Order: sequence, then C-alpha cells, then structure tokens
Amino acid sequence: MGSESNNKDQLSQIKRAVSTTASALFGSQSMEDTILSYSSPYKKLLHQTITNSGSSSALTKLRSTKNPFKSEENKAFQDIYSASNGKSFFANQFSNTKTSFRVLSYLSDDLLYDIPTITSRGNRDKKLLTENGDSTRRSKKSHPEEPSLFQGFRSSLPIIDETIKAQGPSVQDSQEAPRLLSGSEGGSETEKDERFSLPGDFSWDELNESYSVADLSQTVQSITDNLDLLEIQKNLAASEIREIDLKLQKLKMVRDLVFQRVAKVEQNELFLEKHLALLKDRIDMIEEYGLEDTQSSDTAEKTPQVPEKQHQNNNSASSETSTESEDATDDDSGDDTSALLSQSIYQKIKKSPPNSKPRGSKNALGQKKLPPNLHLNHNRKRKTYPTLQQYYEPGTKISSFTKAHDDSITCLDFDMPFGTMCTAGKLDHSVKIWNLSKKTQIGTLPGHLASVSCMQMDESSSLITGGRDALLKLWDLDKAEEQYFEGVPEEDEELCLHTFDAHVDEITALHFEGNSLVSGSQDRTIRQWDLRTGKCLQTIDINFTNRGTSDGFSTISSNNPRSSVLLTHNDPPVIGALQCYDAAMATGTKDGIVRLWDLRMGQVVRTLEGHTDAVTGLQFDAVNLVTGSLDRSIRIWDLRTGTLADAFAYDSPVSSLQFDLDKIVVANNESMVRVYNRKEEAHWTCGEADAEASGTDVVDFVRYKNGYLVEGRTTGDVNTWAI
Amino acid sequence: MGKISFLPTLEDAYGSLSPDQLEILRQQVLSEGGELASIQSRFNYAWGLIKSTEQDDQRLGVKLLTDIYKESSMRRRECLYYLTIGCYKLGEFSTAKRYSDALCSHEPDNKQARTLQSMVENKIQRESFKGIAIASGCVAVAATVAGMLFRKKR
Repeated sequence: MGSESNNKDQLSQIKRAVSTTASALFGSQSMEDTILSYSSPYKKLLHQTITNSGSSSALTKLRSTKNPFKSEENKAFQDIYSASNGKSFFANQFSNTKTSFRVLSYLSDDLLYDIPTITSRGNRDKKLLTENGDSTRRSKKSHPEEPSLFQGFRSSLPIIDETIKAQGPSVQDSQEAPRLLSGSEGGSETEKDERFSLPGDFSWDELNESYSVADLSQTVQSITDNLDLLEIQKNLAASEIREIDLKLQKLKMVRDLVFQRVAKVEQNELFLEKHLALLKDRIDMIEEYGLEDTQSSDTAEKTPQVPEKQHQNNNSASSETSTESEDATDDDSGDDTSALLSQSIYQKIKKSPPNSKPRGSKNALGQKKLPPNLHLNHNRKRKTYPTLQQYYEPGTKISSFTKAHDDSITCLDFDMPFGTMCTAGKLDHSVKIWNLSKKTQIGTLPGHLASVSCMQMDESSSLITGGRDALLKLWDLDKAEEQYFEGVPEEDEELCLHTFDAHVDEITALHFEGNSLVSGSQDRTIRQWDLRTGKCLQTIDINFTNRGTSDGFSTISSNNPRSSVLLTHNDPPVIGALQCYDAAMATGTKDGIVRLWDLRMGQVVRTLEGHTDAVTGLQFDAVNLVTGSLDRSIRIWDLRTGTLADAFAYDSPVSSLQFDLDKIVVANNESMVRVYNRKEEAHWTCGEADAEASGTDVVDFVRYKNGYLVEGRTTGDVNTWAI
Repeated sequence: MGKISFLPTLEDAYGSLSPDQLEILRQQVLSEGGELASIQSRFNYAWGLIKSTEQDDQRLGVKLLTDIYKESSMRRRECLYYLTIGCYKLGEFSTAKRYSDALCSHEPDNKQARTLQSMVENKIQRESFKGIAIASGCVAVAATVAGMLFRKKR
C-alpha cells in the first residue's frame, strides 16, 4: 500500500498520507463506503473516519507514527470520532467486544434509580408517559410539549431521506451537508426558503379541480400528518434551545466560580507583592547603611552593584515582562548619558511609548530616582499585575467609595487596577489614600495649604501633587500608610519627601516621567524639575494673547463651575494639561492651542490648532495625541504627521480624559463617563444616564488604566468600573 | 407517514436503516462535536445503530444510550425504555430485566412499560425453558445411554 512509505514522512505530509490511504482503501471498501465517497461533502473528516473503520491495520500504523504516545490510549478505547461502527468502537486488544461493551455500558444501581421525580418537568414526563401508556396512538391534543427522543428520531428520518436523495449524483459543497443534516430544525432553513410543497404528489391546481371527496380527505389526512410532523420538529428545536440555555446557565455558574478564584489569587498576589516590596526595601536599607551581619567589609563594594543585580534577577524571574521592559529600561538607562539627547525623541517614544508600556518606563523612573536627599529608593519591579478587571462585563461597576470627600473631587490617580488610589477634594487640603481592592481608606496626606488640583502616582508608591498653594509635593505613600495604621500623629515633614517651591501661582497641571517633572501654573510658566535633585531645571514662559476676551470663554465655563481644575473664578486654567516624555512635551492651554515643545531648547516645535476653547485634557502615546477641550470636542492628532486624525464632539465641555490603545474615556460634566472605542469606532457610556442629577452629581475627573476606570464626582463619590 | 407514537414498540427496533441513513446520522453527531453533540442527534444515531442488524452496531447504540442516560437526568425515564429494548434485542436479557424493573418501579402505571417488562420476563422464561428443555433432554439421553450400557452389562 502506498501509504506505507508515506507513513515515514514528516508530520506535514500526514494529511496527504491520510487521503492517499483513504483513496487506496476505497477500492477495497464495501459498498457502503463507496457510496459515501461519492457524496463528497464530508471530505477529510469522513475520509479519515472511514479509513479507520475498514483498515484498522493501516490506520493504526499511521496513527502510531503520528503520535506514538497516544497510540496506546487509542487502542484501548475508541471514541465516537474514530469508530464508524460498533465493531471498531468496542474492539481493543484487552478483551472481546462483548465484555468491553458490558463494561462501557454498565449503569450502576445508584445511577439507575436516580431518576428525578420532584422537578416539574419530571412530573410532566411522568404524566405523559402514563398518558401514553393508555394508547400507543394518541390524539394530537395530548401531544407533549416536549417530544420524546424517539419522536425526534422518526421526524428526522424524512429529512435524512431527502438529504440522501439530494446528494445522490450531484455534488454539494461540504458546508451545506451538515446544515441539512441538523435533523430536526436546521435542515428546514435552507429548504423552507426554496420551496414549500404539499405532501405527496398533489398539486394545488389538481386539488382545486378535484371533486372526489375520498381523494380530498386523503390529502387532508396527509397534510394533518405533515403538520404533526412539523410540530414535533418545532418542539424538538425548542427543546434543543432549552438544552442550550441550560448549558449556558451552567457555564455561567462555572465562570462565576472561576472568576472568584482569579479574584482570590490576585488578592494573594497583592499581599505577597507588598511584602516582597517591603523586604526589598529592607535589604536596600541594610546594604545602603552597611549593616549587614556578615562580610561587612564587602558591602561597600557590593552596594553599587546591587540595584543592577536585583534588576536582573527580577527580569529573569518575571517572564511576562522580561523582553519588552528590558528594552525599555535599557533605553532609559541610556538616557542618563547626554549622548542620547541627540537622538530623535520620536524614535525613543517609538521604542518605549509612554503609555503602551508603562511598566518599563515607570520602572525606569523607580530605578533612576535615587535622590540622595530624598531617600527614595524604589528599586522594585512587580512580578504580577492585576488583570481581574478584564473579566468583568464591560461597564460593570467594580466598587464605589461614597463620600470619599465632602466636596467634589478635584483630581485623583491610582497606581494600578485594584492597587492604591489617591484622591483630593475641593475643600479638603489633604490627600486621601485608598486601597482599591479592600475599598478602605489607608492614609491621609496633609501638608498642602490649599486644595490640591492635580496629582500623579507611579507604581513605586510615590505621589506628586500640585496645589493651589503654588507648591508641588512628593510623597511617600508607604510611610503614610504605616503611620495611618499606627495612629502616629502625621508629621507632614516626614511624609512629604520633597517640596518643589518656585511657582508663584496655583499649579494647574503636572506630569512626571523618568527623572523629570513638568508643572504648569497660573503664573503662565511651565517649570521642569529634576526628580533626583529636586532642583528646577528650567522655566518656560508661555506667551499668548487671549484670543477673544476671557469673558468669551467664561460663557461656557461659568455654566460649569465644577471644572476639573479649581479656580477662585470660573475661568479655565491657563495651562489645562501637559505631558512630557523625555525631551518632548505637549501642553494644552487656554487659547485652545496644543503646543509640542522640545525641552532641550525650551521652544515650541509645533502647534496644533483646532480647538476653539481652553484645552482641559491631554494625553499622548507613540502615535496619537488626544486632547479634550471646553469647546466640547475631542480631537485625536497624529503625531507623525501633525494633522488631525479624528475628532468628535459631545454635548457638554470636556473636563478630563484619558486613553489607551483601545479606548478613550472622557469626563464631560455628565452623570456618566463617555467611552469611545477606537478600534470599533463606537461610542458608549459607562454609568447611568441620570438627567435629573445633572448639575449636582456629575463626573469631574477620570483616570483609566488597563480597562480599569476610576471616576470622581461632584458629590465626592468615587466609583471604579471595568471597561 | 402516520402519527408518531410517543415511545417505540419493540417492533420499531427492528427493520434496519440503510447504511446511508446511518452514516448521515453519524455525521450529524460528528459535525456537532462527537460527545458534545445534542442529545437528540446522539439519540438518533444510537437508535439507528440499535435498529441495525449488526450486533456490534447495536452494542454501540446501547453504549451511546447509556451515555445519554448518564448525562441527562430529565431523559432517564425515556432512556430506560430505549435501553430495555436495546438490550432485549441484543439478547442481554438480564440487563434488560434490570432496566425494565427500574423503569417500572418509577412508572408503575405505565402500560407500555409494563408490557415491555412482561415481554422481557416472558422471554427470559422461554429462554430458561429452552435451557431446561435442553438440559433435561441431555439428561434423558444420558440416562438412556447409561441404562443401555447398564443393561448390556447385565
């Protein structure tokens, strides 16, 4: 047989081998198989199974070459797939067919007598069976709603016959065959469209002209029978749907259980991560101060290497992030040298875009930020990241913090889904820290002299806030948490690691990335700070004349006194939003112009004009820059060409936005968060649309990371959602 | 075709399908994913197999029926009935009796089940009669032979 040689070939040729074997075998096959070979729709599957039936020897050989490890199982017990008839199903090398049949089809006594009687359907079945016992031929009225399996069988026979007839000589495409076959219900679909014919050989014209009562009543009879048949087919389909519904229900239950499991595991992970971080901190501390018990003489030499070593260890351990973040961190560590500054910034963004790979860049921040005066040693990298939010139904509220602050939320940020969140309220001068998974407050950060208007967190527990007191503060959240639980009276000197004090008017926007922090203030300056030294690197004055009068702006803004940034007057901030990446910075200002800066020169390299009112939200990644404005529109710019890629408008002014590769989330002073799916280009909303509450309970501020959305409201409530 | 009765009679289990029909039923099961196929299509195949004249096919049919039985508690009453018929046809009378007894204990008022049970019992009786007849025949033969031998010796 030709297939013998093929068997030795590689896996890629096995398919061919199977078909050649099949075709070779067809010659010797029985009548049954020959007929089937003509009705080609079944194609490969059929070929395979058929060959299996007749020529066990060749096929076993083939199978054993295919997968030598599975061959034993295959020989021991066949499955329905490979057994085309009873003989091969029960045939195995250990016992004869009769014995294995008995073994396989044995029902234990427990199972045999475990027949439900209480359930409603069980009762009905019982009744039906009893009814049925009276006469084998029952009138149509007593037809059960759910036909018996046997009825299903009988009613599908005519369809099968039709199929065979139709398949006869003509060749059908394989797609159609299973559909026709799908016995009770499916077969009808195609058929129905094509023709509904009266049963038998009657035509309507003939019947109309016929005057023979006998003939007509015969037709009536056959039509009635046909109707019965159809009714059974219908019920069959219905019961199949019920079956599927049940399965779906079961699956849903299983899903819930598994979901719980994921949640539990993630809690455990968070717990371990926290302790891991604490341990690493302690190791760092010991090594930094040379307190190690043994080999204390070596520590001095070791110390400088340690961070790198740990970094490497972490990298090798965390397989999920290894390659990507390695690239990113390598890149960033190169940033320290001035050589890289000559590189195109855009090239760098491309390599490690600020948003798409937050781990790498954020971690780089933690690594490089070893300020001797700030004592911040975040030499950490998380091994795991929470992903539970992905398994929620999109738009599900995960948790809510009622009255997080007494007044409206001005800004908030969180480090990662189910991690830590910081919030600031309008009248509250201190920042509150929350645990997102336990939904409890875990700390407060007093220190600002006025309310906090902007903040940013990173993954290594540091927080920078900017307030109306013209100060920027860097906080240590871990210490704050410790103090909160120990009940130590908070001394903000300890919690606040550094205060950046140079601005002369309130801070309205800040952003930090890597070692640099940029802040925008009402004093019409942007300052760039070095996070290692805490010194101001440069001050950029923004000069623009207000296009139109500020009154013109305030027509809108005065209607929205709860704009994200706090001002004594209802005027939009001069610098509504900014973001930096390496030497590139983007700002959105009151005049509605988005400026792209080169921080090395401190000059504008490009302006993006389009917004007609103050820009309040801005974010960019490697490809796009998205801005939101009081003019109610969202504009998506293409950074490569500097042109507008997309734009759309809402009903009310945008106060805050954030986006990732998939979605843009927007707060626009409505009771729900607007979400724009960039891939599907679909708009939807998250949260209930409550028309009455508008004005008193609207979303002020949004933050969004990895499908996890946090929104702060004017009522002081904070809600988290899965998007 | 006439109206379809709710449950088959024993005669329905005979009169095999054509190989074509059987193969289509099988393909239906396969296209729905073998073990995952809907109960109806698996039953269709199983019943088609039971109707077959090949003993091995019948066995596979019974095996599939037991699978359905195990899986769907709602269909168990029905399945017991089919299983009884299948086993009866296979000649597994003791198993058939087990099934029909279980069925009758749950459906004491069901005439069809009763009929089936009595048929099974009759068959078993007949079989055992046959057995007894054969055995007694053998004994008689042996006795005569022994008797003849005995006589010869005398």
